[in-house]
Amino acid sequence: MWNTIIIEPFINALLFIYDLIGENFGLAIILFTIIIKLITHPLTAKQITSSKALQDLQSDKEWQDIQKKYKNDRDKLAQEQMRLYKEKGISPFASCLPTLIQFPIIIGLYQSIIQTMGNTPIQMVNLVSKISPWLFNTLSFIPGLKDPITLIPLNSQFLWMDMGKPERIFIPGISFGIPVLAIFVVVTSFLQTKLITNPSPDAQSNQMSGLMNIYMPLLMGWFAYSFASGLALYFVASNLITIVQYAILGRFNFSALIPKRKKAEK
Amino acid sequence: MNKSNRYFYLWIGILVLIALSGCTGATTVSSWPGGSAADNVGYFSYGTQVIAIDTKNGSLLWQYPQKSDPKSQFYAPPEIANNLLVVGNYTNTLFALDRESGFTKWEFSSAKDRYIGSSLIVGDRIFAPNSDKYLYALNLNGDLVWRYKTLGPNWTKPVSNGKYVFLASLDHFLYAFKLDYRNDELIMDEDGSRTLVSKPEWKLDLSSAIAADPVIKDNRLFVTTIRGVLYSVDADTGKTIWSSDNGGSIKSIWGSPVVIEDTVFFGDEAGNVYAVSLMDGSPVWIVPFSTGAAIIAGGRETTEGILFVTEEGKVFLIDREKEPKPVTTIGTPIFSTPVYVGEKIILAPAIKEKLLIAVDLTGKEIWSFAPSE
Repeated sequence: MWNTIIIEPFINALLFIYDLIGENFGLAIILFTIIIKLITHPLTAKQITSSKALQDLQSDKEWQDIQKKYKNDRDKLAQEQMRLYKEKGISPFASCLPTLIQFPIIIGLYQSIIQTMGNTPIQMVNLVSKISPWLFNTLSFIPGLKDPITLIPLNSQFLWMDMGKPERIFIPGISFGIPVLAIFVVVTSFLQTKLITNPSPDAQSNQMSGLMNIYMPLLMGWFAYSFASGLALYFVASNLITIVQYAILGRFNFSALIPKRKKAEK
Repeated sequence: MNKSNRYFYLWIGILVLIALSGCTGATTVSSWPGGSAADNVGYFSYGTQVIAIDTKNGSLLWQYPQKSDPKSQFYAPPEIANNLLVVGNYTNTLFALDRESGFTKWEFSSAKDRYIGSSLIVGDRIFAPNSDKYLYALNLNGDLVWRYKTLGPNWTKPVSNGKYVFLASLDHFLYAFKLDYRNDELIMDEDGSRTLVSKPEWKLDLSSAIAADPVIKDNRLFVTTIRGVLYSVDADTGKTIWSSDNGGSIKSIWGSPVVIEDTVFFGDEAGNVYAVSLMDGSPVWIVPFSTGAAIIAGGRETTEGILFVTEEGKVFLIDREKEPKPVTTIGTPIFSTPVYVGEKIILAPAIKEKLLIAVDLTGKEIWSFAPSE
């Protein structure tokens, strides 16, 4: 079911793009990520708008008064919160639902990239069994399209990287390889989380975001360091596109990049 | 963003990471056991070790290395000649072991990628295909004699007719090389050594990746592709004699064909076994024999006919009258070509709990072997 609905169409779309752009797998990953992000952009936009509305509520005078008034009555506070949501037309789930819908798409995108890079016999057998000529036959009017099975094995070379292997740059005099792409993943993940996270009036909430802003980029960097560079390329592309999406929607928080100075106490 | 929303995103983040880490395949098995046999000893590479098994009773004779190293994975079938066993691993090293004891004789570590296909020993030359696109020709001491760089990874075992060595590559080409080259026929490679063959004797574009070992009979090569085509190629000229795709209905072919007398047998990913004429590739059977599950392994000739195994663990025998019949079902997937030695079929179903199962031609289990952890 998962394979039929998500993975197989994604793999065939990825192969189609790969064929269309002259068999460059790195570019195909970037283009495929852009296309999926464009398709899911309305969901992302909805999520961003709803999140903003919820965030604005935190600094709303009426809400702050309600919080003060019912700070010792949790039930009443919840009732008032729901009333306020209703009055202001805010749905607390409107920001979560698009994320939930996008979740399988993100995982599917990731899995299809991994499976398309198959460079062991089992991976190759799995990949070939998922290739269908349907998309290629439907769009056969495009000149130069090949039988998708003849695209295997994919040309995994992109710039200095082999998309099927972890990326390292070896510099003479240094005994170990430098994982440039993994560093890019950490930097772009950090920038993404920093730029799109708006500060909350709640200190505990801010503390948690702060921790996430550190751990998530490091974890993503570790994935990029350990696994095929095609995956790292997808992470970088995805991070950069997300930043652009937020910028287009005017939800950038540049101030988050500038460390705050503590006011000198007199 | 309120607190509950932040918690929601934190959990989503954690779920994404769990999902991502679960599907990278980093620690999963990447291939199936590779086996070969000679003189009632079976040699199998699977996971971290190569093992030698007494095929009479399934007892372990030796294992290499003695202590498993998780970083060193073996899947290429070992090649045996005289007292030498040659096998490559997934960390770019080709090992020559003493066939009797399993002790290392030498290692060749110049390759830059995995050994997936088996090596071939012809006289005093070892031909080792590697995923780094090279075919390496070594002497019996493990010294590089010559090499050739193809356009893609090489996963199949070369074959030879004594005059040439033939390599079928994932790059879609079938190549023919001389067994030996004079020094003045070699050119400088990237590392500055004069070891590179600049041009094969001939090469043939088969338009699709070749993942199955080719076979040679009567100076004709039989090569299958993942596009589902069987080619018969003249070994001297590299010209296609005929090709067979059954009107385009054959699915990907992952296993080697078997040639018996005047017929070529092969199985495809759809689970069909085809029999075609050696002379012109015309179908011998009007309808292919359907096993009901994908055939990934190659066929294996026995005294009674040809064995085919399926992804669902079913074993079939095509007898000498070309009549298919079931032999046994072991209930676990089989991707490896069975080994036939001393009237025993040795199946390697790729599960550690029962790595090897020996059955006779009636399907009766004789012994099984599970490696100790």
